[in-house]
Amino acid sequence: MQVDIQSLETFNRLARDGARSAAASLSELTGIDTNVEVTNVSLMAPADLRYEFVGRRFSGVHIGLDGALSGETVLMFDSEARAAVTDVLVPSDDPEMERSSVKEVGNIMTSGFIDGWAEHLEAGIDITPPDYVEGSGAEVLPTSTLAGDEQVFVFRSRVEAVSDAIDFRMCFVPERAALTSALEAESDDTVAFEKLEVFNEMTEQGAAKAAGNITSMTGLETDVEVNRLSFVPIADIPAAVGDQPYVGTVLEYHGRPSGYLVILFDRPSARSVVDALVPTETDGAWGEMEQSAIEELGNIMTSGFIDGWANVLETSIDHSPPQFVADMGSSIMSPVVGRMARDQDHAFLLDSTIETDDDGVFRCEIFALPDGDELREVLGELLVDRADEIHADPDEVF
Amino acid sequence: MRPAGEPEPGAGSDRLKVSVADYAVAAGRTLATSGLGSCLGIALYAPESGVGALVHPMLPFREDAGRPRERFVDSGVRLALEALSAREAGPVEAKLTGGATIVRFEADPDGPVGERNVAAAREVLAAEGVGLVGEEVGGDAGRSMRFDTATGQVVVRRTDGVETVL
Amino acid sequence: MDVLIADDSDFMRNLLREILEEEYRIVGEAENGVEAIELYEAEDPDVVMMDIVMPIRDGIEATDEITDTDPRANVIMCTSVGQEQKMKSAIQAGADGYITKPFQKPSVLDEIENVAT
Repeated sequence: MQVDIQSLETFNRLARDGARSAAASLSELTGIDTNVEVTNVSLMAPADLRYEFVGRRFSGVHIGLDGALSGETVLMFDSEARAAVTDVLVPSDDPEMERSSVKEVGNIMTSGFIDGWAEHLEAGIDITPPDYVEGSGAEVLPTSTLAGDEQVFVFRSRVEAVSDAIDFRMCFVPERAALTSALEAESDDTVAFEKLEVFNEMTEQGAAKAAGNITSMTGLETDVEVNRLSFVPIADIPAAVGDQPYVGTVLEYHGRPSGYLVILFDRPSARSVVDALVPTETDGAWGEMEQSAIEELGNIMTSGFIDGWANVLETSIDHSPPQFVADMGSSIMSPVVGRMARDQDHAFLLDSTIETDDDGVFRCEIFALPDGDELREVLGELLVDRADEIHADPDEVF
Repeated sequence: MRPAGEPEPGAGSDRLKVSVADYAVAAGRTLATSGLGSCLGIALYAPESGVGALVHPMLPFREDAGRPRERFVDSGVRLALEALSAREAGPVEAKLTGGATIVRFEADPDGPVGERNVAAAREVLAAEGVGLVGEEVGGDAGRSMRFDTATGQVVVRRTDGVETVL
Repeated sequence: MDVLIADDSDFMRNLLREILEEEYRIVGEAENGVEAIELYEAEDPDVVMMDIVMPIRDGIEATDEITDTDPRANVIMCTSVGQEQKMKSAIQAGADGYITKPFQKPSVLDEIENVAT
C-alpha cells in the first residue's frame, strides 16, 4: 500500500482548514477568538498518543465517523478553555447544563472540522451523536481505533485563544483501511505505508540508544516515552516546539538522507546533565567546559540516533560537529526551519521524548528533520527485512 | 491569507498573535509575535490612521512566484503594505527586529540567514519608500516582540534578558 | 608509551587525558584532523586516539594521511559513530582499532594494549 505525499499534504491542509472552521464556530458561539497553532499528521503507537494527554484534564466530545472516511474524532478543551466556554454559555452554576453546553459546542465544532473532508472526498461522512468525555490520557481519546498496538495515523490540531492562555485540541484517527484508500496514489510521489512504519520503529530504537547514551554518560536513568513520525507544515515547527527555554545542540547531517538534528533539554535537565559530566561548581551561566560537555553528549546521542538508519540502509551518514544552543525553543528552530523552507512547504519531523521514568523531572527532546525528497528515496530503497540490522559491532568489522 | 477588508480575527480581544511566516493588520490593538531567531519581526505603522501591520518572515527573497508571500521578507513586506494601502492607512514607517544568528551553519556561503534577512528588509523598505525609524537586530539571542498599534510603540524582549523600546 | 589525542571536544579530550595519563605519556592534543597530522609528524607517538567527526578534516581522512606517510602508525578510532560503513572506511584508511563512545575506561586501555603490542 502506497501513501501519496501530495495527498498527505492535501489531508494536512484539510485538517488545518477543519480546525480553522471549528475555531470559527467556537468564536461565533462564545466570542472566544482563536488561532490554529499547529496542525500535523503523525504516525505513532497508540500508547505514545495516550502519554501526551496524561497529567492534564480535558473535557469535550467523542464522535464516530462513517461513510467516506470512517474513524473517530475527539475535540478536547483543557480546563481553562472549558471554563471560558461555560462561563459564556452557562452563566448559572449548573454542572449538568455545563456538560450539555460543552457537548453541543463540541458537536458543532466537529461538524465544522469534518465538512471540508467530505467535500474533498465528494462523498458523505456520517457522524454519530456526540459522547461527552472528561478526564486525562486514555479516558478522553478515541477508543476503538486506538485499541491495538498497531501504529496509527493521527491528525492533530492545537488551537489557542488569541488573548488568553486557553487551548483546545482536535484529534482525528481515521480507520486504517479508510485512510489508505482515501490516500491512494494519484502521483508517482509515494512511499509505502509499511516502510514508514518500519522507519518509525527504527527511529524509536535510535532514540532508545540515545537515551542509553545519556544514562551511561551521566548515570541518569532514562527512557523513550514518546516517539512519532509527523508530516507537518514547515512554518508550524517552531510553534510545535514552543517558547520555553531550552539548552542543547543543533547539527546538520549529510548522506542518505541529509537533514538537521536538534537535541533540546529543558533547563533543569541540562543542568543535571552538566553537573554529572562536569563536576566543578559553576554559577548560572553555561561555561566553556559545560558547553563542550553538552556538545559532546549531543554528538554521542546523534550517532546513537542516526547510526541505525545508516546500518539498515547500508550507507553512511556524516554529521557536522554539534553547536551549543541556549534559547527559546521556537527561536532555536527558526534558522533550521528557515533553511528547509527554501525548497519545502511540508517536512517529515521525527520527534522523540526522553524522560526519567519515575519522577518525570528529566526531559529531553530529539527533533530530526530529514530532507523530504531524500527520505522518500531512502524509504524506497529500505529493505524491510534488514530493519533489525541497526547495530554494528566494531569487533566484528575489525 | 485573509484578504484586507475582512473583519480582523480576534477583533474583540486586545492582543493578536502573529505566527511564523504570517502577517496581520490591526488598529488600536497589540500585535505580538515570538520565537524570532533568524526570522524578522517587521512592524509597519501608519501614524496618521493608527493602523499597523506585523510581518514575521523567515527568508530574504522570494524567487519563485509559487511560494507563499508571507514567508519571505520582500514579498511579505509588500503584502502587508498592500493591506495597509487597501485600508487607506496613509504614509508608513517601519521598525525592525530579529535576524539573530543562533546557529551558524557550515554551508552558508552568503552569510547567516539572519543577517541576510536584515539586509533584505533594509533593501525592500528603502525601495518602497518606507522610513526605518527603529531597529534592534542581529546578535545571537532569540526575541519576542509586541507592537502596540494604538501608539506605534514596539517592545522587543531578548532571551538574554535585554528589553528595548523602539 | 606516547599517545596523541585528536578530538574536537574539550570535554572529551579532558576525559581521555584523565583516563590515559595514569598509564601513558600524552604527547599532544589535536582539535581537528589537520592538527592531528601535524602533531603526529612532530611527536611521532606510539598510538593515536582519533575522533571521526571533527571540523576542517575528519578523523578518517587524517588517519588515511598519517598511515600513508607512516605505515607502522597505530591509530585507534575513538568515536560516537557506530555505522558499519564508517568502520569499514576506517579500516581502509589504516585504522587498527575502533572504540565507540560512550566507553568504559578498561575498554580504552585494553584496546591500546591490543593495538600497540
